[in-house]
Amino acid sequence: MSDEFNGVPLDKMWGAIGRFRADGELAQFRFSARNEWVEGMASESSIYEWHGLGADQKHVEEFSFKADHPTLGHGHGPTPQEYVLHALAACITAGVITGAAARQIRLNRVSSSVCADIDVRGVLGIDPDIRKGFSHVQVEFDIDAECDDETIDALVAAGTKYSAVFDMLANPTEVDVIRYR
Amino acid sequence: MIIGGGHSGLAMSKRLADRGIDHVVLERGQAGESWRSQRWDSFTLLTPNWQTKLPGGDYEGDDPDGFMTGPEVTDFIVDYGRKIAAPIEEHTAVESVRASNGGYEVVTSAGPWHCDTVVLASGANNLPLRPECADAVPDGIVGVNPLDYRRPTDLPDGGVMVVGAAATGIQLAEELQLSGRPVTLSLGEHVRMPRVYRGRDIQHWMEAIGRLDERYDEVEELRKARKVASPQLIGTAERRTLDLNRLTDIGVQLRGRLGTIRDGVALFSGGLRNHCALADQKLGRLLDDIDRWIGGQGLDGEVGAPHRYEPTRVEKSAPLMLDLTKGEIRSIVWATGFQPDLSWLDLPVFDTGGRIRHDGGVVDAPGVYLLGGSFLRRRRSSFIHGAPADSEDLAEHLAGYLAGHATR
Repeated sequence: MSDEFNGVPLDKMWGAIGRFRADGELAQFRFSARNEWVEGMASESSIYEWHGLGADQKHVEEFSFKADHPTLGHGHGPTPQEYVLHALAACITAGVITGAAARQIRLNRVSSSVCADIDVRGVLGIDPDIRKGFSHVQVEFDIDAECDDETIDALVAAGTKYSAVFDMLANPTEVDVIRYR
Repeated sequence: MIIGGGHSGLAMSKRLADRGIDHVVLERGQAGESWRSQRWDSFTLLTPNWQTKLPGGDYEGDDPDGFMTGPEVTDFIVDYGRKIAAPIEEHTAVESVRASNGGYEVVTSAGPWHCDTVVLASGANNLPLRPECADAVPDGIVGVNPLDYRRPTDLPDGGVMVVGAAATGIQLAEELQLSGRPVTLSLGEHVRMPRVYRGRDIQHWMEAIGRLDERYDEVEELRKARKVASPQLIGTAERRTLDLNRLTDIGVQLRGRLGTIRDGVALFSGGLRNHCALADQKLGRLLDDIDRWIGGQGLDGEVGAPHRYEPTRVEKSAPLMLDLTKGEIRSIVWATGFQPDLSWLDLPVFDTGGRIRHDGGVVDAPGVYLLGGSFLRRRRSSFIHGAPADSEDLAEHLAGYLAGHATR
């Protein structure tokens, strides 16, 4: 554990980056989730197996997440859209932390709040000119670190630049929805 | 055999002549051709005249702080070729280069040549690059690239989308907007730079702090460094700064990076603010480095006071879509970079991405060298002033290769 910085195992991180650089095949990952209807508008996803580093892998345990509707559901969980907020904050935060670790900057606290605006007339089909997704997303970071203010700004900007979820939200992604037959 | 009679090829010719190495420079047109025939009317160099240097042929005119136009660069190169008496074969296009008898056979429009070594100096910017989504532009919209574009009146009246915000993109965006064509500028990562800082051209400080001499084998992340776009600069007599805020002031609409075009609708990235923040921060770090250097040299009293620039203004919710079928946009300028054309190079030296494999210009084929190109050996490599040091290094290597390679 001696090489951990901000809780990030640096040797392991640099080792993986070196291996991905040498062999692009190892860097081909595939993530997956299974989803099952529970009742009403609620469903539950489980996330367990993934592929990467040239082999099939498993998380330490099977993780489950329930989503529901805030007014028409029965309180099984937050809305699917809110999971996106969690994914975005968690992803940029991970980038901030690894970026700080790589530069040996000690972090004391990294907190953020995410808010997203949505006009639900879009999803309800009331007005075809209104988009269905968020019209605007804002992530606000509050960070206490052993470095100057400009370095914190740079960590956040770089964590955002290298965030997979930020990229998926901010840029178009091809999405296929098909039927199992 | 040197292929290409531009600044790089001629600089190499001088280096080889100095070493008594017999050589020929092949040029498809005339020396310095592309600066005359493949630049827009208002084009000027990004670098001031004092920085326009070639081995044994520095700028000697009376306007060291000025910026050459395209034809002036051609004249400068032609004069240089005469001055060093370069053995240049003009109007000789190379058709193929292949390995032959321990050397190379170069087939040209004027017949074949055989040589022991080949220097590829045909330029890094021969072919304009376009994103894949360019194919999805609706019919009826005029598309141009910076090599063909000459002046605003080449484009139809009406809106223009300029894609890319390196030096070319912002310069063309400004002149098109001022011509009365409303411009939408789509931009991703970019390099923001003032023309003059603390009373001196930014290039003066870049030279002073050694930024331009950073070497390819010292820089972190070379692949990334080679992909960095040209800085947002313009060379004018009044030495003015052209940045995104100036473009916003004259009415240019800033949009995020062009992600794709779907059903005739351009989709822009929502990351515009972050891209601008990254560029502002990077500029801040550069100015910090310059201020530190000035302080370290004890020059603080002799130059202007340190200051910082207004952050790039980005409108609150820049639209993410632009319907190209509505007639608002009549033309698109693809200022999205260039790549070299080495299609005639019949050697197994290309990687799977089609890039030539080389170590600081020493190509992965014995006796073959490459000049020009982004960060070939140094940060300055892609500029004219990159040629002196790069040609010296590679000529030295080439001479060593010839010495070890018993003359047949």
